[in-house]
Amino acid sequence: MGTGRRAFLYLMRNKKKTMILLAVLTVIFTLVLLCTAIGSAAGSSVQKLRGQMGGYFKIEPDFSQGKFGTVDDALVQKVKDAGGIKAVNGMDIQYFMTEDLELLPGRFTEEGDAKAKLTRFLGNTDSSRSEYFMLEYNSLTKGRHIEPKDSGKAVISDALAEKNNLSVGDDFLVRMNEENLPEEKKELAASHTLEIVGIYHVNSAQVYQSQNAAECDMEENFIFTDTAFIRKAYGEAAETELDRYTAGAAFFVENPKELDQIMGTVLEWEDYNWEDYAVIKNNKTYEDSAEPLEKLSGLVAMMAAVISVVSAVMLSLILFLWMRERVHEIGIYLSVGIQKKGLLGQYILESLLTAAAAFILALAIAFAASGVTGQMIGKSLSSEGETEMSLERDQTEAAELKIRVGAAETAEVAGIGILIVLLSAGAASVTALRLQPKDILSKMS
Amino acid sequence: MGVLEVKNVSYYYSKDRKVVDNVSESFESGKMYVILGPSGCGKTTLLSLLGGLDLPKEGQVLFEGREIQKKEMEEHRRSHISFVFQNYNLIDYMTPVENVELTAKEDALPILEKLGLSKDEAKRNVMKLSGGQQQRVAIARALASGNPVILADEPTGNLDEDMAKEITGIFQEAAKEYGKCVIIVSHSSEVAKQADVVFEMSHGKLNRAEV
Repeated sequence: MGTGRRAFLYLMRNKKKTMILLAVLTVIFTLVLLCTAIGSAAGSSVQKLRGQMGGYFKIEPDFSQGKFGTVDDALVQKVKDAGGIKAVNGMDIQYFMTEDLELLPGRFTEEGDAKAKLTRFLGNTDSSRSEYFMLEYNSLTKGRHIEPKDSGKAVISDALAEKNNLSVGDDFLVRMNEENLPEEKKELAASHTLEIVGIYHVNSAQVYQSQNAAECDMEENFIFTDTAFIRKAYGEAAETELDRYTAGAAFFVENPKELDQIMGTVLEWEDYNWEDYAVIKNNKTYEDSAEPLEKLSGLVAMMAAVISVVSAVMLSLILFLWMRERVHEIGIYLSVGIQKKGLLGQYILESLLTAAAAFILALAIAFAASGVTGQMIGKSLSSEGETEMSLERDQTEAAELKIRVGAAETAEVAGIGILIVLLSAGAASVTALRLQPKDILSKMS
Repeated sequence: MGVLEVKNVSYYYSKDRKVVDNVSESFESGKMYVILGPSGCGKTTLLSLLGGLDLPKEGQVLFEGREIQKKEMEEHRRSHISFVFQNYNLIDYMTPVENVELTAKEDALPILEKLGLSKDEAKRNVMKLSGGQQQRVAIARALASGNPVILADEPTGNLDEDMAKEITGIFQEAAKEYGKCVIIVSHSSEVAKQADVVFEMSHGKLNRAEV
């Protein structure tokens, strides 16, 4: 009779022990599978965060110094060429009069002031990378964002659109605030047509709101536009061609971990007087979001290791106790000439066969439980986020932690499982197999 | 030349008290040998040495004229020797057929049937059989192995007189019909009555007795 048949017969005829071993191994494999999958999901989420949220730094003219630096196309290009930059958003902030647009009423409307038509225009080369949208203070609800190639486009709030019965594709007129122009140039305050390409919704107002707020400070009245339009309008007024971003530029790095290194490189350039600039690092979003995930990743890796070691010890003890009951059987096998290595093979095979069944069960359980576990962890991370993080975006990312038991996790746990079973069954069997047949048979008789 | 021989074999735990003391004997195929003796006289130890469960401290154990070395003991047990024990020593989670198949070089069922087990009995759990039936399974396992030597340690010790007679008859049949060399260690003079050769063992010495 072969080793395989002996192992199979033992498992089939000792159902109680087989079921106990099956249950123990199923629990072990399910826990290790879930830990591995959670670790993997957390790792993937961190990687995704790196790519999506990223770290970025801004170079802005430092108005507080009085003598502020210029963030022009040349500087932006030079930073881009330094490497590690995946995207740039050049920014302007200017104020325009809205000719045929009724703003949401504020202090100036009440006072009958002409500034009731004046509002803030946020120029962006890529409005999707504006902090208003990145940090989800605003959300684009219709149309699209401002893109680098745009000229004369606008994204307005849903409240403003509703008030003026406007939608994507409609136009509106704006002109420069004559009050800001010298007398001889007031005639240059020509009208400009802006086409609405997107509508946004204000999720959480960032600017202090009160009943006395000016129209231009109310976020529903903010108009996102392209920097080309602002340069054109102000260039015409200044009778020159502008090549600068009045509010600076934000540089998004490919890997947030390299943010400090890239900033360091830029700040070493001696052809710029960096005291005239504000260079602001911003990877807090990434760090805040990644921190709980990285903690989770480390925790589950440790848990998987602890479970594996404890399992191996526990399994060894169970098998060792059972093996003591099988000394008589070992004696019989040895007396009929079955070799010790054959017996070792049988006992390992018994555990491996049970482990294989347990592994299939564990896979099914882990598949079923992964969704619920993901939701629970997501909620847990979100509530942590509510206290530790200030950004809604972080909570969203955490809540989206998707745990999937994939091929890599399956293979990893199968490997760990085989190792645990081999070690445990081997250790338990070796002790009994070290006995000499004569000693066993003496005990038997 | 016997199939199994011992030459000047001694075994001891301390040199001043030999359990087996300078024993030389030859055992032939087709014969049933019975070794009689009181408890502690060394007969089970001699059986262990013959069966390759242990090595003698002095002397040689030879199978077909060739000495059994330490590294050959496992092979000796597997290919030359079959054991039958007083407490049957069957694998308790197997059926009689499966127990016989552990060593069988031929179909197990006909041998079991020949030794008096029905088909139904041969396929139920071995622990549900009577003592006599279990011993038949153990003998069937020994016969099915095709090994030329059967060593039996008190094989009738747990059986009543009638059953003991039947079992001893089966051993005799194994020697005569199957050509096995059967060596039985026993207390029972009834078993000795059916033997071809009877030995008496006392204080480690093996002496032929009158049949």
